[in-house]
Amino acid sequence: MLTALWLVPVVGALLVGVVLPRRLARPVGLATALVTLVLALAAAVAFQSGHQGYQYEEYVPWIRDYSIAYHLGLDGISLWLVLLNALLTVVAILAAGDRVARRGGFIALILLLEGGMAGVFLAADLLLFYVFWEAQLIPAYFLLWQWGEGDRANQAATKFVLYTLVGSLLALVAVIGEYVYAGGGAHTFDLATLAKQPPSPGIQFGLFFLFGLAFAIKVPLFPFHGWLRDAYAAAPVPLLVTFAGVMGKTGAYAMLRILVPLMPHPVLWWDWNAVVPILAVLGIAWGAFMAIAQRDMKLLIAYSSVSHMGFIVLGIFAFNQQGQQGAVLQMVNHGIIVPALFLLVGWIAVRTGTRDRTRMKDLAPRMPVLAGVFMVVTLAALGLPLLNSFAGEFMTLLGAWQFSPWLAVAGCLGLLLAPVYMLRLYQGLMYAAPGEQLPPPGDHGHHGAHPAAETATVARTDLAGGELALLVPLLVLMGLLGLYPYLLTQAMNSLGYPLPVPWR
Amino acid sequence: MALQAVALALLLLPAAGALILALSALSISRRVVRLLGPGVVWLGFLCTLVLFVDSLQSGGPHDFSYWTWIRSGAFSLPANLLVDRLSVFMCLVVTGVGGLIVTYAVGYMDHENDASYARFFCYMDLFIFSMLLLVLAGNFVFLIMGWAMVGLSSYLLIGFYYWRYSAVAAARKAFVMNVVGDIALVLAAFAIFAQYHQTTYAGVFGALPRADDPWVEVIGFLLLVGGIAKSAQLPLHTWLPDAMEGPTPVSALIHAATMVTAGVYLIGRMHPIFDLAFWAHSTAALIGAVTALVAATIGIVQTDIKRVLAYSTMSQIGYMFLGVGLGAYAAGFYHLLAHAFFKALLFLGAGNVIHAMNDEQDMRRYGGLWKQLRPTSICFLIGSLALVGIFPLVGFFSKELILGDAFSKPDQGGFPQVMWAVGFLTAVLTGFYTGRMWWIAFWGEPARDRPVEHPHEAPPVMLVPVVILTVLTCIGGALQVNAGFDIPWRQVEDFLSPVVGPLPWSPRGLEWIPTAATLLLGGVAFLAAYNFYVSRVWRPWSAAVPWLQRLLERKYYFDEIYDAVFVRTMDGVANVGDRFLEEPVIDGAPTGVAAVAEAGAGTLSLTQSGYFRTYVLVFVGGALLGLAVILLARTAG
Repeated sequence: MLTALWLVPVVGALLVGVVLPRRLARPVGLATALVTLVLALAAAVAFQSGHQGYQYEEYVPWIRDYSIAYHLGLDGISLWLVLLNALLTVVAILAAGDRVARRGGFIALILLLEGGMAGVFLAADLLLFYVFWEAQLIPAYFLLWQWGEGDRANQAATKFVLYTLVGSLLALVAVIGEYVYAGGGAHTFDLATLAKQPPSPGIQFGLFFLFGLAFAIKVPLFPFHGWLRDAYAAAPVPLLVTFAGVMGKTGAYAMLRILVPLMPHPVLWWDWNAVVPILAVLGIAWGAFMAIAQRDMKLLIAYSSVSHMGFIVLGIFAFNQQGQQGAVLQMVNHGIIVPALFLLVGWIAVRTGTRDRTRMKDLAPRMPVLAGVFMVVTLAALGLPLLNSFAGEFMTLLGAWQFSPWLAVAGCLGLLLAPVYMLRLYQGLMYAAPGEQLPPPGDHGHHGAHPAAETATVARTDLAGGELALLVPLLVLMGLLGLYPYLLTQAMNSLGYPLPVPWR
Repeated sequence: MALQAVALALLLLPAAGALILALSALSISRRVVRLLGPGVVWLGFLCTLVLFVDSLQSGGPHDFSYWTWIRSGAFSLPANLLVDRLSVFMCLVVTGVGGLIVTYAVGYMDHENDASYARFFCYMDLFIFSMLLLVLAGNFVFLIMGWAMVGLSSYLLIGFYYWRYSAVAAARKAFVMNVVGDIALVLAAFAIFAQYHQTTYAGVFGALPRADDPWVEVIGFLLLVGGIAKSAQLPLHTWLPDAMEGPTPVSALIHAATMVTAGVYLIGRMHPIFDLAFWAHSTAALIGAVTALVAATIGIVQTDIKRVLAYSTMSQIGYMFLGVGLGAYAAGFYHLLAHAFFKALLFLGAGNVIHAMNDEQDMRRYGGLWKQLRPTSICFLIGSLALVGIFPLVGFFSKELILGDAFSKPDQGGFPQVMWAVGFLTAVLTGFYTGRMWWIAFWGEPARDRPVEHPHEAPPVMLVPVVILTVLTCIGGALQVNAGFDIPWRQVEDFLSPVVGPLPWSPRGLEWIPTAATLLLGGVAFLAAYNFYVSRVWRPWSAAVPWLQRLLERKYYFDEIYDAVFVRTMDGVANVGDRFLEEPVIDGAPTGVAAVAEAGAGTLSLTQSGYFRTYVLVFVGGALLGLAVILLARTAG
């Protein structure tokens, strides 16, 4: 069952990329992604909320001499991320325009990426986790390199892969270090065993640094987000759906499922558990400020992600149940909102021919449906209560407050700045520009055709039905998870192996 | 059980209206919008009446839980609504006065195109829903939801004319300043949960300590910041005058009758906390008094009729803060009710005038309307006199109740009496600026540059709500007789006392003296404005103190100071940070590495040795670094 969750996309990728002719690439790719989504949904439906330990567990000894096992398991955290991954892959394939989709390679690599990320969420063995962790890097690199936008795509891909590799290789050292020192000398890669008997605080301190750096780069956590600007600028929008929507969460997931339980007390010269939340808060503020400074819509969203990922890390390192469950909520919430944002700004860029937000204005009367949908997504992104992001941000900050009230207060700077950059973006695109005093839209046609609209040359205008249909599931989830976040947290008490601060 | 469904229906009706209008705004016919937009509010009013009758009979509070919003360890939060006399009181105002205003908008917004028409009623219904959520919420998270949704609908309605940049900017300003208040409430909720491990009102109020302590004060001040931001009190008030960019019914509904009184509701709802938190509570009264005075002074020099009303709203809410801040909760809420009547009346009356004057809002360009718009003029005069506090209109009774309670509150080193004195001075100024507005706009000869020579009175759909509000303004005083008269007739106080408790002190019997003084001087100031602005018998006061006029016209330079201190600092940090830290260091350093790698790799293909070299280099370097750290850790640990 769980194997299928990563193997189906991989097999699909091979079919699409190697075996089948190009014209079948998109339907077969889509079918593969849909099958995976159905499998993930089935796993969610049959999931037992009260159960302790992994569900649908698979265990096959792999390399007995080093007690390495092919060990997969699903629990109340990974369930939601696997589901998110499967959903967003479907969205990404549907969002891929004909130009990219027809070449097949793109679809194949997206599916490979899905398989790799699903493996990261499912692995219950540290070495297996590392294999998947590295495996997701390869399709991501080729996607950026081959399908990147702009003349710097090549360099962006190299930068991304080098930066991430540095972290990964340090993590490999840490995997070996964990095998040597932890588990009470049992010499195992089994995560549950390792979590029971962490090494001495000094060793934890070193291992925390190695693992933590790898995960922080992936998230990315301030100040390790140097790869993000070029990579997000270069990545085509369909890729960003999973690249921004899910890949960062593998880093956050790894922090919660590996860093925290395996190295709960990393204290030597200082306590890492006190350092990381400070970086998280700095990231919340820094990402928000950088978002304010951006004129490129994609970069603005990219930096807003840095800010939002800060909330997730802050919640994880609040070391209490509210903060950590809030972090998982926020992983899912951000994974729903950011793809919608990237899709929308991508569509706007196609319509207007620019990504520079200062070169656009008065779009609302020309594309009222897009304006309305963008409004809802904007509000979700700035954390409006009743929509999903609020629940996650509230819980992570509540956790942070209990850790240290000042952290929560500082984190609130992100809540204050989010409306500034999101509304500047939205209003700047949609409404009158500074100094403008246009006459009200007249009565000809219910779209309220505008004098400005009539003179402008916009290739296509409002959202097409297919584009809208792509966003509808995301919009519905934004509303549902805002009203009923318990839908997610009720499953979270079922964990594969316990966290240092138990979830009840 | 039935009541539980009614409470939910009350909330869901306007929500459903807003959702339907949002989904069909581009295709729905105007006739359906006319029915649906106000219809859901009036249905909500019916639901409120059911709850009202129940609250009169049983009086007991109902705490209805519907589903679990979240449960995470000890943090367990039901989606619950609290239906007690205070929330029913607020619902009556929101759906009753709100219903009148939304109905009025049917006529006022008629010249918009179809899509904008539907959009307007969608926002209005969304606002009603948000406000009902705010007052019905039974826990802190749902309070925050209502609080923020109210801010959102206010943002949407202020920016309704999005083809005007001034409206767009005003909307964003309102949103961001409201978010300051939202954040304060969020932090208050954190502190409350961390201290008392409760999330619902009932739980928290039950777990409060018996005496004042630092955390109660912290929570009190955070709640107060939330209230100040929403109620446009100093120093978070600068968004309200700009909010007049919205259509006039919006100003009536949101920026006079309902939303801006949310801060008063909050202090009343949280009275168990404020009763303990002496400093936070007194600060509320102080801020209210100062705001009342400052806003009244600015109101004297405004020329836009809606801005005069906006500053007068700030000023009147200052009175309410003064009342609830001193612990005279019923007085504060009575003034809230009275203000909802007469300020909605004034805004809608002003709307009739603006409508007749082709959207001109500068009252210096009106003049002589008394002869041509007689029904509106009469209503507006009654509203103005109620604002001044002239007997026997509702404003007299409610304002004097606050001032009388402040006057008679014992001890505290004379603090309540100082507050009374500020309120008294404000009342005189209120008489003056209201008189100025009335005389300039309605009396005298038509201005030479008046946009319309022969204005038309508003259609019935706009006039009838105004008349109903006028009647309510006239008879509202019968609800409660203030302390100046020794008559035990206190309907508002008796209705609310199960929630907020009775007034903890009794009148001194001397309240008739300040009451008479306020009435007299306020009335005289109203008449004196005639000599300044119509007959011009007296020289303009500003000729003697031009610097004061300039200070008032620039609104004490709050906007300029905020722009320099906050907005420019924020943009400066963002741009400097981007240029000098983000681009060259955080983003630039790895770019440099990548460029070197690219150069070393050549340009042909991935399998070239350059990549491999780099890979190995990074691998070895990383491994060595890692080993070094582990070894260091081992030797040190």
